[in-house]
Amino acid sequence: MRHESARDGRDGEFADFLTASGRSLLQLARLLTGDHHAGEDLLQAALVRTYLHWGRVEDPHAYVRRALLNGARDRWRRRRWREVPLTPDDGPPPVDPADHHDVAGRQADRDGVLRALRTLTDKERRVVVLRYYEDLSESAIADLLGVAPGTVKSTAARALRKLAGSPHLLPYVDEAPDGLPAPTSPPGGTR
Amino acid sequence: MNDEPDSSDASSEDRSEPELAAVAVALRRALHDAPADAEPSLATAPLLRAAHRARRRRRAAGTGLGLLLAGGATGGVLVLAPSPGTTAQVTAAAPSSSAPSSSAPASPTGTAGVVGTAPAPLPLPARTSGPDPSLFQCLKEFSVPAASQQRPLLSGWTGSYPVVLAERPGATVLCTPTLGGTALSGSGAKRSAAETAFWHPTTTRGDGTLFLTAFRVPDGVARVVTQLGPARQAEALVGAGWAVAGMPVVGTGLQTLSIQAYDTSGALVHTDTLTVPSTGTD
Repeated sequence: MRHESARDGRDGEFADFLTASGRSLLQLARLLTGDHHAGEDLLQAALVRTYLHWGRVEDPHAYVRRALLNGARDRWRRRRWREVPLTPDDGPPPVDPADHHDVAGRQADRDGVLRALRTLTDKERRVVVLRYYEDLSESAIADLLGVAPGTVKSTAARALRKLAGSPHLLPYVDEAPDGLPAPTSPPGGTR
Repeated sequence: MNDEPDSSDASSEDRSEPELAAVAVALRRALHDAPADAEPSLATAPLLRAAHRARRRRRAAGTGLGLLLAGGATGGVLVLAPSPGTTAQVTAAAPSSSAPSSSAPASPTGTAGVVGTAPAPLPLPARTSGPDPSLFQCLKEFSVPAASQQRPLLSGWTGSYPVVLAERPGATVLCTPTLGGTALSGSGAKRSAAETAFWHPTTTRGDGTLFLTAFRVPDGVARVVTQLGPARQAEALVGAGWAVAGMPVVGTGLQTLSIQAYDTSGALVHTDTLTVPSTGTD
């Protein structure tokens, strides 16, 4: 059963990849969408597509990342039809403080990151996530998004200017060398 | 969210390069400090979410999807539906409403509503962390041949469970892994051609904790109502396209999952009530 063996090996590789990279990819998906649940759905669809093409995938992380970007873009294009929560769902639910010390505070900080990202346009969000989470170069981002490097640079700068006014980044400023500039506009996200 | 330039930050145009560098440092730290293991728990998750579609769906089978409704303390219905739109103009599903209205929509894209009145959390397991490889095992074994280009009809999450709905010759298969990784499939033989627009293979997860059904709403909107015993009820609206609805299997007493489909004029065109097996304990 050479064929079966090869398939098992391929599935094993896929499972290993998911085990090793699943969480970081899930985080990437959440950051790209700015939404916990949408990120999970986005990743799930990307992984299904990746699985179906696994035999031809040379760089799994890059492949999934590309699928996530395509999915996020399609999601934006379909935005008029996407789901609208009836109850506020601006972040993860409260965490039982009995289970984790100060987890609730950290959870709030993390939720704030998504809130801050949601103040950006989709294009800005994609750029800053690729630049500061995926640590890609401006030229690599330009290739991925099909835009000029100068566009990446200007988009990132515009996003940073917006985020400079975000109170949600304040928890992450303490250890920053120069601190975060004070907001120049009233805080508050838009969605 | 949009892709258009936003001029609302005009007041911050004068940020200096060092200031932006500081923002970049903080942002990098923030992005890496938000790990994906902060999983929401169904016990405390936002209880009910729903969706609406307001345009004619453009594709026969759903490609995108979204978790419409996360079960939990308000009844535990889980609904997963594809993204294509619908021509339905759903105006409301208020707490006391009994059906979507066909009257003029409240907004250009309509609105949708979900209601739940359960008094206590349901004993759903917490969301498992991240994608589950066993789902893909299920996908391989029961539905889409790996070498093919066939795409699943639907894939995504129903609350804590990843789900794939796929089609192969002669059957449509609903896959969700058990906590132990054992794949579960449920397939329903299609009915007559006229009825294929709305059918529902049902299945219960291997460990008996989740009842799932799949159906396709040909047009308009479907209202999904779960009833767990006499006091716990939840409902959701889904637009045209494939959908998966589920509810936990808990306790004794009559538990049902009913689906009512309305066409774009608001007329009731289909109704089904499925009896959910009981666990025998409460």
